[in-house]
Amino acid sequence: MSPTTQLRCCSIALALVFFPYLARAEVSEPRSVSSTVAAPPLPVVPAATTTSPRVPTRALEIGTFLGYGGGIGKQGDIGEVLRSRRGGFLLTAGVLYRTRYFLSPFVDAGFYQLYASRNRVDLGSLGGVTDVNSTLNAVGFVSGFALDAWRLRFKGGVGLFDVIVRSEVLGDRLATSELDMGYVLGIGGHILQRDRVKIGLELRAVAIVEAGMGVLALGLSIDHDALRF
Amino acid sequence: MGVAASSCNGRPAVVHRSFPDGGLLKGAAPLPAGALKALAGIFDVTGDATRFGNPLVVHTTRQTLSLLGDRYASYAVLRPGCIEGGTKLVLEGEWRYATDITTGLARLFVEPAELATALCAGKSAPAGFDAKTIRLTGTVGEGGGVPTNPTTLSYSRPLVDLRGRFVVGGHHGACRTIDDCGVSENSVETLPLAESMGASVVALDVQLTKDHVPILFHDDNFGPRLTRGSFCHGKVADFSLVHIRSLCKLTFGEDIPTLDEALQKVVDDTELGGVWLDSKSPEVVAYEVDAAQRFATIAARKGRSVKVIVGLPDAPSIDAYLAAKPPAGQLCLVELELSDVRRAGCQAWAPRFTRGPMVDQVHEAQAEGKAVTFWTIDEPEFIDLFLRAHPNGMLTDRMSLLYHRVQTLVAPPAQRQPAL
Repeated sequence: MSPTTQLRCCSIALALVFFPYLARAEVSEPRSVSSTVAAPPLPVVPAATTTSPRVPTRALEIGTFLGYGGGIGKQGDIGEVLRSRRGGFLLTAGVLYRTRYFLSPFVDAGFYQLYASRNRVDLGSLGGVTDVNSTLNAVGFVSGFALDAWRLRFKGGVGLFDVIVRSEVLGDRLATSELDMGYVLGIGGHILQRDRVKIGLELRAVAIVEAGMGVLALGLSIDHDALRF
Repeated sequence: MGVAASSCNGRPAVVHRSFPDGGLLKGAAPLPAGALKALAGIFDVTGDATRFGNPLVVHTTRQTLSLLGDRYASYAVLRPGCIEGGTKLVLEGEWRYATDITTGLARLFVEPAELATALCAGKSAPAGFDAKTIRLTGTVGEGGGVPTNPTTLSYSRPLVDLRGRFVVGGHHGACRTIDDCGVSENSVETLPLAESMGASVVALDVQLTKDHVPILFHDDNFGPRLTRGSFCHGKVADFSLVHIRSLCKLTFGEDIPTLDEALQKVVDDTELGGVWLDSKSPEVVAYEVDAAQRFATIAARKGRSVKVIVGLPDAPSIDAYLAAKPPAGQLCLVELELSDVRRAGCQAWAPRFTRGPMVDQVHEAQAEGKAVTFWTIDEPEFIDLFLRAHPNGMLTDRMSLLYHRVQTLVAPPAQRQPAL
């Protein structure tokens, strides 16, 4: 199945899960108060504008995530692996629009370490037995929706990742990259909140489908309500 | 959601079969190369092998005997061995429905006994031998384990000689990687298997590396679709050959071959009559012209005739071909209009099948001495339709089906084309 069809399939799955929630709107109606006791006539006083203070229900949140995780997916190694690191650091920054509704849209951008290794390969007539050092990282742009429930936040999104390969063997250097589709899922919780700042922990899974690679990371998230309205 | 996501990625795997403990071929004496040729022909079938169709085409190479059928584009590739002191000639191997994942095993014995004994001794059939007495009897079964369903194939008539008249073109070799015939497309390993499946020509995709080495690869980018290797990712043109060999393997574990390695394999280990080089960029054309000249000489020294045809899919490739000043006798093929074939001075025209059979244009091209071959046709009804336009060849992922149809349904053009 082509990556485009995979993306379509999984987007349909995402929509089916979240549709019931998207269709609901949380609208708080003012309560009506009625009294059964007739009040005495009041003296006439000049009318004054008295409106109760409006509680902000929307916010523009900026946040950052720094985590470390292990690689997931097939690691197709060529030759003998001398040293390897599956996964690595993830660092992202983004903006989330916290709404009155069930879901809050977000976008973020980040850097993802996916894999690094030093392998011994036999190149035969091209150079005999030699070592090759390689890294695989990605710069990703993700958009999706977050769902807040109590202190927990669930996030899911699709993204475009620039998957970057760097390698060196026999003095020859390789530098190449490719744009691939991927998915992000996160579950986090706020453990500390002071005024507009929330600090928490998040478990985040990133799957770059067309590269057949991903990372499952645990890290620190810091979110700040930059605007409330 | 996880289940829905994972179910979007499912593709049933093909289980390839082999005889337990090596079957009867383990310990069998090898058959002299070329001896199987005496068994080639059209055979009538009784018993379990009717699952492949009836009649069957028996096609041979130096090392294998294949049963090619039109039901589910089936094929069985069997290897020979002489047992019981050279008095019995046994053929064993896997069969497959090319249109799905059904596989099984077949074991056949050559009869009559005097033919089997003669072939095992390296001799031709006995004097006065009547080919109509040839039978292949044995068992066929679905799945693993020793097959137990009896079957008999009885010789009916000889094969039609297609040389110079019709080419069965193997698209990317024996099969596409996603079809899982056990080897990757555009690999050295696919070439003998393509010949076993009935191909007389293979169409191979040629890309250029960063250090200007032509390699066989279809896509412009490396990735999990066709390769293995965590770092095998990114533009082909960014990789040098040394990095390709360090970081990449094809799906079934093979090296990504250079063009030279593939042509050497064709010359040394097959009897394929030609290679169509599908140029994936104009820059690679000049290198293909050079390789074609070198390997024409190498093949001639070995007593082989291998036609290396430079394929020109678009106008920039035609311009690159003309700029390379190809020597006289260099064969080329154009995929655009017949007028472009004339402009490029090429000997073959290969229109995409979606343009229709174009019967009048096919005949016009053939009258000018140009070979016409359609690509890439897999469905039985389209194969039959286009064969009735009497082209000189067809490129397909279903070689067994096409070869069967050409041998049994529609006679190939009578006029031989110089390019074939």
